[in-house]
Amino acid sequence: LETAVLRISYVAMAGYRPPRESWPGWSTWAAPPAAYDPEIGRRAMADTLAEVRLADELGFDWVSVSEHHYGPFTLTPNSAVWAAAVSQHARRARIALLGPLVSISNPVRVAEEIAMLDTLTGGRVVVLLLRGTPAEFATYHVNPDETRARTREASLLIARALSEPRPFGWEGRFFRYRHVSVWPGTVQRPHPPLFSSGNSFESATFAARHRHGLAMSFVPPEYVARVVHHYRVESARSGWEPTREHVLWRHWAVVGSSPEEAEEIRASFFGEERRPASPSQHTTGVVGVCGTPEAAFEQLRALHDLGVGVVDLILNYGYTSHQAVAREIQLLGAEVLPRAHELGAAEPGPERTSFAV
Amino acid sequence: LPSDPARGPDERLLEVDGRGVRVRELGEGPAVVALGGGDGSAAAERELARRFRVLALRPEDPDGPAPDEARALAAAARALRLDRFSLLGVGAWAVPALWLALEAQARVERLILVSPAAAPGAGLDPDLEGRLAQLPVPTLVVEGTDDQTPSAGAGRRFQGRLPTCFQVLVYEAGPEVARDRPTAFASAVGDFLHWGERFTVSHRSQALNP
Repeated sequence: LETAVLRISYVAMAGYRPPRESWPGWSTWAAPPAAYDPEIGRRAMADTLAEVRLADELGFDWVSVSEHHYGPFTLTPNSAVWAAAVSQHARRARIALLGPLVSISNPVRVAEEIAMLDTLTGGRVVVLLLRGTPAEFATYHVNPDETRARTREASLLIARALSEPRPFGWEGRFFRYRHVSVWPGTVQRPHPPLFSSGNSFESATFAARHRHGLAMSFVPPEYVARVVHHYRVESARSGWEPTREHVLWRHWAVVGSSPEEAEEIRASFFGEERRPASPSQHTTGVVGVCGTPEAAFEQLRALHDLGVGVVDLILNYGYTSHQAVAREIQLLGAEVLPRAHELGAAEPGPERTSFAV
Repeated sequence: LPSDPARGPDERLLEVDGRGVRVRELGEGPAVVALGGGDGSAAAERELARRFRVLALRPEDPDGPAPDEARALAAAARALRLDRFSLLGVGAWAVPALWLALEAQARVERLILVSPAAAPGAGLDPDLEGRLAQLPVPTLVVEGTDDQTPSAGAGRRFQGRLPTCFQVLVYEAGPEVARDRPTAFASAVGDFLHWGERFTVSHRSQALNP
């Protein structure tokens, strides 16, 4: 992970593309299983894996996966399973697990999955340990009031499980294990780079204190500027200095070869639905990147100027065709990636920074 | 565990070989001899005392070499007619606890080291370090995840040197684990005292609404 350039990540959404004529608009939690068409589901995964191959061939730096439950918005309730599949199609890019919802999961299981993936990919895994959305707390019947504390404890336990050389027990507030001894180990030591949420200042403080990267989603540049500043201040208090490689921004993105083409894709990006509610209070309510490759690059450069080192772009909410998404990947790969990789190349970046426990 | 400097109503002075040893006792059950501990550990002591007879021993003027302290404590245990007991050594008292376990290994059932101030390769007496492999007593090392002291990480150092050694990390606890997380501390220690090596298995039912 170099420090100065802008990395571009393709989000492998596996979004279900519903039949428009008979779709009542269930894109988020919880859609009834009866509405599921297995052929559409199969095609969503196959199309996404084809997009993964394309993004990897065109030089995308990361391919990311996420975890969401009970809805067609993304058919990936288990991000590790999906990351394993993706890793067999992206042979060069980092596999970004962004991320397992650790507030509702077994942290030791998550650590084992991370270790497996890091081994499987030869050390290409990056991990964001997330809390999840309110609906997802209900998925596994977890008390929403406790999820912030559960996320923090789980994050530290996972880091420990991945790096502790001897078996250990864990007597936590929410998790208890008498014997943790994860196999396989990881390729990256002490463990793969870990990110935490930056969607609140409180979370950014946690990330800084534990030397995790900072990952923001669906937030506007004004918020990015404020939270990155806060993250840097808190990191300095904890005795370290993050670089751009530690700062990730995720958002919906639309790229077209002309302004008109981009606007056409954007207009139907969320279908006939309203844009789903975001856990963040800072959401823009619209796609975060939109326009021609030139316009998109300028928007991304503005984020780079604010300290962002990785942009994680979601090109599909289920209403953009596979062909259109593939075209967007091609535009990004040909016209945005090379320029993004030149950003900051001349600036004297700090030495390679490791993500510590 | 208990280290209240004020002599409480349950504390008595034992004369052993011309030396005073203060004894504070609480609870009933298998005997646990506790050495050392910081202020605020009373809550953890009470939790353990629900299942065990906790005897907090505090030799007066404990300035001698650790083996000598261990011999004095062994004599105190005999004076208290403790045929079999477990040992819990906190901080600097982990070293006398180790010596005592070596000297009286036939009588010591379990050994618990809490935030030990020394460990193999990290300040432990080489004579003692050389004998660790001969200590058959099942041992648990307890440390806090927030322990930033130089001796933190002792658990992994003892593992591999002691024949049977486990470590438990208590989340959001510093070096004074019993003070910071008394219930969590007593839970892990109590399970180890009760089950020994089998404490790694959950013995509690996880059935919902059976």
